[in-house]
Amino acid sequence: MQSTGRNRFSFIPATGDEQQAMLQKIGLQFDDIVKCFAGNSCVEGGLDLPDGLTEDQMVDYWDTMMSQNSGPRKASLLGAGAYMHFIPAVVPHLASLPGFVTAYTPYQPEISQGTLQSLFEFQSFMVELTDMELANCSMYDGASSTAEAMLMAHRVKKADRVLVAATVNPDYLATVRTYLEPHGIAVDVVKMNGDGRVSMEDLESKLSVTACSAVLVQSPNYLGIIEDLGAIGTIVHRHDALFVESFTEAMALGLLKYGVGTGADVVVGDGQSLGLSMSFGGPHLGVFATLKKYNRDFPGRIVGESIDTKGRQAFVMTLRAREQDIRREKATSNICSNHALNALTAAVYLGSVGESGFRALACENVAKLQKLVSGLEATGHFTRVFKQSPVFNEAVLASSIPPEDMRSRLAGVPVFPPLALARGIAPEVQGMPHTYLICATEMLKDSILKQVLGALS
Amino acid sequence: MTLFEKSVAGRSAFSFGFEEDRAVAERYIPEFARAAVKSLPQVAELDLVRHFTNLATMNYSVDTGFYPLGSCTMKYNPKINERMAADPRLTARHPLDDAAGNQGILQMEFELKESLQEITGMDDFTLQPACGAHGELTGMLIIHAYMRDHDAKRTKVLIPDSAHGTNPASASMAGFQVVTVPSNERGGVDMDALDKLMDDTVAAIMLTNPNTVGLFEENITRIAELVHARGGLLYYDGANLNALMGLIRPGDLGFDVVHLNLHKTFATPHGGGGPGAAPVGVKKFLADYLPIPVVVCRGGQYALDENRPHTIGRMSGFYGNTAVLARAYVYIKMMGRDGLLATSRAAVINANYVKALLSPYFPPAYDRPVMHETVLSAKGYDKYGVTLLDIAKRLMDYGYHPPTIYFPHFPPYAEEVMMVEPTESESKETMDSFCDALIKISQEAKENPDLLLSAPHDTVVTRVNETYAARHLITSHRDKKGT
Repeated sequence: MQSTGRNRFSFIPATGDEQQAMLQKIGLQFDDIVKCFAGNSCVEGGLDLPDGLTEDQMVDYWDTMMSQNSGPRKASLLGAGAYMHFIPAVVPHLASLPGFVTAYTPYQPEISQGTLQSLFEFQSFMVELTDMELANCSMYDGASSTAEAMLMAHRVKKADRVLVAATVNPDYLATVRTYLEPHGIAVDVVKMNGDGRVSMEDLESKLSVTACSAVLVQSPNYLGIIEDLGAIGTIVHRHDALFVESFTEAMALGLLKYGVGTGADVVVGDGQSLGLSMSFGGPHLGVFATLKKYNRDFPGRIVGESIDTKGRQAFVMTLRAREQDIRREKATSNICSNHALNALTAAVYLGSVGESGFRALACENVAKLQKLVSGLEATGHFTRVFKQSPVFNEAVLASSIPPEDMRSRLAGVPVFPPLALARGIAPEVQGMPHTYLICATEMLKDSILKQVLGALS
Repeated sequence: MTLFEKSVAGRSAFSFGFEEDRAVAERYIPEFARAAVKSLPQVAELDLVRHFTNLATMNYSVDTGFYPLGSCTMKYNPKINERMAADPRLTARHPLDDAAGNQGILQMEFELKESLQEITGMDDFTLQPACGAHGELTGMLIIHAYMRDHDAKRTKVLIPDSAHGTNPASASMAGFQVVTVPSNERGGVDMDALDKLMDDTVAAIMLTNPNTVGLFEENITRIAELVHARGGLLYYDGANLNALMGLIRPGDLGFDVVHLNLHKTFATPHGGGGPGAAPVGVKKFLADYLPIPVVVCRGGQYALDENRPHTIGRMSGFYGNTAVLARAYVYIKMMGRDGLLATSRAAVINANYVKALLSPYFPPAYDRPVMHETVLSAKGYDKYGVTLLDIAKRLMDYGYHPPTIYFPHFPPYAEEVMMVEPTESESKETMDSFCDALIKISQEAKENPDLLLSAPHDTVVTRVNETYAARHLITSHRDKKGT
């Protein structure tokens, strides 16, 4: 533990001499301080880690490693919870301003107005898009946000059973199960109809057996199909459960009905499509919006508008009495840090595309998928399953092309190949034994679409 | 003024090669289309840029100044981390694409896992949890599932009164009943109380070490022996690992489950409230309980393993906050073995130095050397009519972010304490100036308390009225329009 006069670590300013001066002021040597380890010896011989790299060595090392990934893609036929959209340059520029990036949670409002106001604006966007009364300032991702919604419903209704539509993203369902399991809350799955949507008959009958705290439905669902949320909401409320609407594709908020108009008690989902890159699955953005009557029950942080001592507009975290640092084991959730910077990113994105742009993007996604589906059907190797059901930007197609073949055919096209669905998810189509969940966004330009169709013809 | 209030109908920052195709909604989704959202702000690109650029200047941040927020480890966030994490070969990768196309990312994750195993002395890790509290929940769910399989009557978790609020909240969310363990007169766990509470209904004890007072738990070996001998497990909250790297490892001290806050110890930025990342490490006997999928390496090929028969399931939609993991990975690679040790050493020296400078004015409750942070009392100032909050607000006028205040809450810390964590990033002169400011404020408290009571004066807003916010509950632009 000898110190040298020169500091070798650029992230640690103190020189050896300065540390000696500080130790002198303290009146102890470093070894005296770590005597509190009380007989537990220091790591023998130091950690078994390599020596540190310089910045230029690091760049080389990183470059070699990242070149092991496949090359760049211009569009994605792969969705299923993560979506490739265009991100305007202004979005990452503003979201990486150090004033936002290197600040902590805004506990001291006088010097955190930047974070607080941007989160208030994010909440405002979410309230408009989900058509709900109250949105928190973010959860981790769509799956954990959905699981927290189910826990909230259980706090409110207290029945140890919830229903989840079979058409919900299976990884969301798995997350819900993980969160609910230790509380002994039964998770029953409501069957899917032949049209790829949740069965109203099965929902009605499962709700009639015993009390349920919540019903969870995703729309567009895992198969890309738009559920009839309004009709489902009516059934759910007849049985006194909370209706939780979930989404994985936030772009759909520009075109589809959610929220109070469809009877939602909670709208949850993932906001990755709002200006965030896919980043191999994270960090994404958990959205959580609910009704004011649940303002003592919801998880997470929320920013409110207030005034300062001079009567000026000022923002501050509010409804804090639900939170873990105050309520400890009685808190509505353990959540502390959330995904604030991604919430800010989403606010910048929505500010950038604006009112008409967001709607136009949603329409463009619908149009692109229709174009892709008809193009694929025209090759003779594909046919849409659940043909009569409305879709947003994903659809299930049956195909004669097996997954390995699909990958190799698309190898020369700069797109992510579509998701091959496991058997049993969609009904069998004669002569087309393979099924795919296929996605199209505004990124699928005509020139790329042409290449895709060429490769699969 | 919010972006919504700046909206001018007809303005746009939208620049795509298409416009709204009204026929699309009518043709393909006639029943389900909503009316157009007519309330989003309409601004031009420069309006947007100025709006958010100005907001960013209204934040105090590590890049602008000293941020000694105890327990939050607001160290410098190296810029190279940001550059690497913004690499499109990472950011543009779809999580569900074949492992063959993601070998570079998986290698990075696997190497990060191995480094964390070495730093902590644990046998396996999940990188999935998104933040500290999410890591705690993951760890406690692992313990819950293990006990369900082995000793189902263990339904309680012991947590010291000095712990962060997330500990009891996470234990409770994982289905446990929380039992509080008092602290002793030296700031550690009260061993007699532990002895009485540690029975065959207790699944685990959750410990932060060094604890929230910045003190190393002197009795950790005895605690580990006692808890293990009576069939319980030890959970390590790694919020304060910054004090220990290269010095001592939680795995060697007997901990069975640990979580780490990469946004604290491993220099990833906090982002004004996340995203962070909190990998959870376990000893071998718990590895089958880790959430799926787990990054593995088989015959030189990296893969995501879904086959863990006892897994607690999934904690999120995909595999965790990859772009945050990447930043921590770069940090560890660049610090290396000596750098991590030098980091903890400097963090400990800095905290003791600040304590030495401030003790005459703000006495610490325990006369012991601290680790990475020190808890100091401002109790004596009430006789001037001044509270700790006033002192903290006055610090802003001097250009500093205040320390964590009114935490921890347990006796003798029930009131008026501040938790100062300088981190290794700060120079001697920064700490000197900060301490000078606090000492000056302690004088002002005697001579001109009004200066503190009305502070801060030099910030963009003065004290914000929390009661007003709670009473009016304006949490969106829509609420505002209604008022």
